[in-house]
Amino acid sequence: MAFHLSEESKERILKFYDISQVAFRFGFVPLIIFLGWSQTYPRPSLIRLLSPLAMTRS
Amino acid sequence: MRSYLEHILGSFYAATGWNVDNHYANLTASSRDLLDFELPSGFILNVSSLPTGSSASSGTLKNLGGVVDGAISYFYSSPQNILLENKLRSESVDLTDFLCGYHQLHLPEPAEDPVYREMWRGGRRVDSKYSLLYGKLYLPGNTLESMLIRQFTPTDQIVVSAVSDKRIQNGGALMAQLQHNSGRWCSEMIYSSHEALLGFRGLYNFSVDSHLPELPSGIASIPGLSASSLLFQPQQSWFSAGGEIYYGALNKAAGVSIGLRYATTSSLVGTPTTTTFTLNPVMGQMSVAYAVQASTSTSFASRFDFNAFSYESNLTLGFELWKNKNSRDEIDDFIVSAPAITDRSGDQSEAKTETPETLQPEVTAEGADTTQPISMIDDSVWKIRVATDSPSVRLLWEGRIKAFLFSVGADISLHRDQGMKTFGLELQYAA
Repeated sequence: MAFHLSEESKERILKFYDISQVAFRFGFVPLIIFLGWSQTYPRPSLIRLLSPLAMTRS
Repeated sequence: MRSYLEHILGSFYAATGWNVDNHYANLTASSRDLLDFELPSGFILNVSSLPTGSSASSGTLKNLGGVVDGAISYFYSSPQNILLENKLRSESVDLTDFLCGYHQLHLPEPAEDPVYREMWRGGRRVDSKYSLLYGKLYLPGNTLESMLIRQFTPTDQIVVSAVSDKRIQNGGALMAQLQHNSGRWCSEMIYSSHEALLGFRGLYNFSVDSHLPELPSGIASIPGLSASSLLFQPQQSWFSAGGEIYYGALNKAAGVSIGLRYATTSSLVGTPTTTTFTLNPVMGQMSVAYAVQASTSTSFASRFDFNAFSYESNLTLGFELWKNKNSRDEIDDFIVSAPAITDRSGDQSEAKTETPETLQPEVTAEGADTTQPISMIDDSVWKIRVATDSPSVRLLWEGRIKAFLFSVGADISLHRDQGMKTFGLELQYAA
């Protein structure tokens, strides 16, 4: 038996796909910065992680 | 000039012992760096920083024809301190790593035992998998380029890369590669969402032939001296064969290619060479390339492409010349003039620069190096490329001035009325 999706379900899936793409596009870089901040001991200041112009580690 | 992403990847792979020369995609890397080097286009400024041993950031500003755009990149690696500072700081890095040049292949050695990666604390295993995250946001446009590398074992890793941009079909594309690299054998399974492409690549390295090089006649006549007593590295050579096959499920198109490589590595007096042959039977394209590091400062590459269906052919020649204060040239001088060592027994004053001890630069009490002329440019390379299918000369100069890396390139047409086709300047600083 073929599996059919209703139009409403298709729209929901497409909307979810669009939202997840936007979330990925704008959330991936902050995730990397957060991981770099939270997984490093001692924790560096955020400005040093954010800016390539900030001084490197001493 | 390599991008900061390539430096980070190089540092990550060096720290994890992953030999990228075993990838089929890098089969022709030695000749490619000499023949297909990219020229900077417009003015590019790149500033990068390594605030911790596991995080890095990089910003790029580009001006091309009055249009200014930029990008900002962030990197995170695990475990901590895996990114090697000495491979990433533009002030102190060895430029043969930083600038594209003859690519010295690494020996296909077996991967390390996974036991060495284990860390135990209080009876519990606490080590984490080696991984690298990368994200680059292009501005304006908000295009995201991302990549994840995760090594499960020293021989297995997955690489997932994605592009997210609302202007391209389906809003983006994703590619996943499952790689197995045991040193002798390297395989990759590839999936790309673009055309739903499935592919497989493999490369097999045959056993390494190793022998000590013959000494120059002047040195060989000295009793008691041999290559091993001079601590020469053995000259090694090996043969590799590989291929790839892929199929695009959406466009119902398939492809296949095979490649062969014969490489010799450097010893102190040896000449590293790489010879490759690639064939794509579907497209009828074949290519033979030869790259040689003729001396410590010069490299040469040539490639002949031929299409069996259209009978089109192309010969490409590339040459690079290094000018640096690296002591490798002095080592060359030492080898060539080594018979003068015997003079030391007769007259100590005549033994000038031939002894290994004097290879070290003389340093005064103030610490100033007196053996080198004072110059702002400490390392630089000239590269030139010509090809029979395009009447132009591609010229590139790359060098380090203070802590900045410069790359200036031009594509000069040989037709009088066309002049310069491309000109660009790239400036890179990595702290």
